[in-house]
Amino acid sequence: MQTEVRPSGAPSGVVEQPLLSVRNLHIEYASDQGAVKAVDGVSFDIAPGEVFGLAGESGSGKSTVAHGILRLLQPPAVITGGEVRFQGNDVFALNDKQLSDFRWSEISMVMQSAMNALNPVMRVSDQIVDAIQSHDPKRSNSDCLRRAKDLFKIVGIDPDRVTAYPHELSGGMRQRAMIAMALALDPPMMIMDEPTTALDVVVQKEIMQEIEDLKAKLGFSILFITHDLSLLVEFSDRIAIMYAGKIVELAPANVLFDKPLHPYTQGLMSSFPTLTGEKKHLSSIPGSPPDMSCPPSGCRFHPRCPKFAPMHAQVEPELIEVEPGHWVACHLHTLTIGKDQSWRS
Amino acid sequence: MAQLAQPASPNGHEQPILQVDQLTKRFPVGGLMSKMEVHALEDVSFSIHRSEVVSVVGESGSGKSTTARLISRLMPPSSGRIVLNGVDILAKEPRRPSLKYRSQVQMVFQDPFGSLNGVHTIRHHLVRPLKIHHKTRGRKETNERIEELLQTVGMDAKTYADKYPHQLSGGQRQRIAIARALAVDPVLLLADEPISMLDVSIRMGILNLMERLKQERGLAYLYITHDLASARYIGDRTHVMYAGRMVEGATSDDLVHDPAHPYTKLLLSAVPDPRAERARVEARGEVPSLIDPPPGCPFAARCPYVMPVCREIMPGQTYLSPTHWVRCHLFGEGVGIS
Repeated sequence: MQTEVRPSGAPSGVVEQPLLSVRNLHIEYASDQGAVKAVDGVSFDIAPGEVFGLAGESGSGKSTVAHGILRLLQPPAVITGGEVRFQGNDVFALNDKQLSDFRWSEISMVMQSAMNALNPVMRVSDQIVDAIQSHDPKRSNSDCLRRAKDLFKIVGIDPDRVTAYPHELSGGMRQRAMIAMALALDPPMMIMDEPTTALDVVVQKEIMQEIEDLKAKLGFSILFITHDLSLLVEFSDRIAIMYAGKIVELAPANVLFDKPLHPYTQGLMSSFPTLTGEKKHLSSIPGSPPDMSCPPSGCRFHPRCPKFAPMHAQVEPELIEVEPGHWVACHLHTLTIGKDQSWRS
Repeated sequence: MAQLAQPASPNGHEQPILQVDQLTKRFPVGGLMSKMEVHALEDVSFSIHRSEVVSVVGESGSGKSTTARLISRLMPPSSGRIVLNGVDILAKEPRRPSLKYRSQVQMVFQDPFGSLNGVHTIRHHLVRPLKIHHKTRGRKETNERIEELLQTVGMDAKTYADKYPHQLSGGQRQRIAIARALAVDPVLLLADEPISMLDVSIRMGILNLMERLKQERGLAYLYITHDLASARYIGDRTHVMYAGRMVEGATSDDLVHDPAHPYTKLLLSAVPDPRAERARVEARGEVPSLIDPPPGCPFAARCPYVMPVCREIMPGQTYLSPTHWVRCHLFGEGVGIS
């Protein structure tokens, strides 16, 4: 293998001092039919202040990665390998006490469905106070409440609404309240798992603007997970595309949009209509996403790939850097770049 | 009340398949003694011609699904007319829709996981409408028809006819839902967010199937969506709904490139579009409550161009061109003021 062709276990992207680095993460779900490899060797870095987008279809493993980073997975999901480092510290080595300190104060999470994530029988203010006091038990109630009101102001809700119950807020306000909670301890990083998917497009736009303004002001990083590629391209610095538990392409957002290399990314990019561009016939990717209990052999995309060759069904392509910062896992690019014959051995 | 002018037909002066006049739906809320009502749909009029796709876009609660449910007659309107092929259907069949009406107007729902019955095979789902509507005689003819239906939606009958819904992917299930609708030879398909629950990579397949059926069979659609880009992709015309009202209608390209109503502009500016210049959203606030709303235009509270008259009177339709109308005081008070 050539020296510049780094395998997927090596740092991907050009992040010098990453805030978060995920290496070779493996997560399996135990099932009657044997283990389902939901996440199979995922590696990426996120730099301070960066918005890193993780895209993929349902079942591609993107949310599992997010939950794995925060060790929020419940059985039957098991982390079977890999490493997650945050500011150099091994997240998987934290004990229970350290872990609960780490969550929310270092990385907080905004979930898709605020109605399910917020406790319906507790006032939002109490939930924010709870979150703060669980990390800083000495802080007084009134001080925490003041902080909760400030947070509401920051995310654009009338601070007097802080004592409302979740059902008294509209969908957009609930999602803002979730963001306010995630900001409560000033974490350097936030994971947003489909934060606006359940919302109308106007509210989505307002909230995304809000998040961008906050990010500019507070400087946190975001791991942004969604299936909505147009939103992701507009909002992220770099994007990784997941397919069947693996990252198949990783590149700066504009590069990925203008010059996708993986046939799956190309298919995705040409399978949603644009609002203003030329009206042309679009096609979808043939077939459907694979059954993860028995994923296809070799390249997992090969049954749907328009550029399939027999070898692709036998050998798994590695994620390699074809241009600075642009990584792709596809035999078409292994071979052209390549002279990389390592798959033969 | 002034007669509403009808938009010009895209293919001459042919009679529309469906014409809806001043359709209104109000739901009582707040218990038996309460006089409060949710104004889910107010004074909605439009028409659909043969081989035409009319898209209806709007946010949740704007009344777009209510429109489809009223036309499918899953519930009765509070007032208004539904005219199918020239027949005033509510006058002719006031209580229940006839078998004929139900065979002419079919519906495809958003959730392909909920709209198929998990304990029955795909074959059962297709046999039921054929039997109820007396479309085929004898097992042989029924089987042939099922094979043909599955083929039409791009699925192999041998592989799929005897499978159960849970053995199929979301996209395949939605194809079955379309095949089931086609079984009774409808002239109009009401498609309520048919792709919004599907994975991005297979959405286009469903839209292209709908497009092909339109070309091959002259099928007409009411395509309901919150996604303006797909509304433009498949829709010949697009109507915009806000808080139970239709506020603008035009050919889909006109609507995207030359929007008139401030709400349409807001909606367009909010759509994520990597190619577009990034514009900030201007109007703030949220959709008003539909319970006993104040008079006037429902968008008045959020509108950057609001005038005193907007809070008093809901404007009628003003035609900017033969195919482009808007209900906004900026363009005159229009005709058909309610």
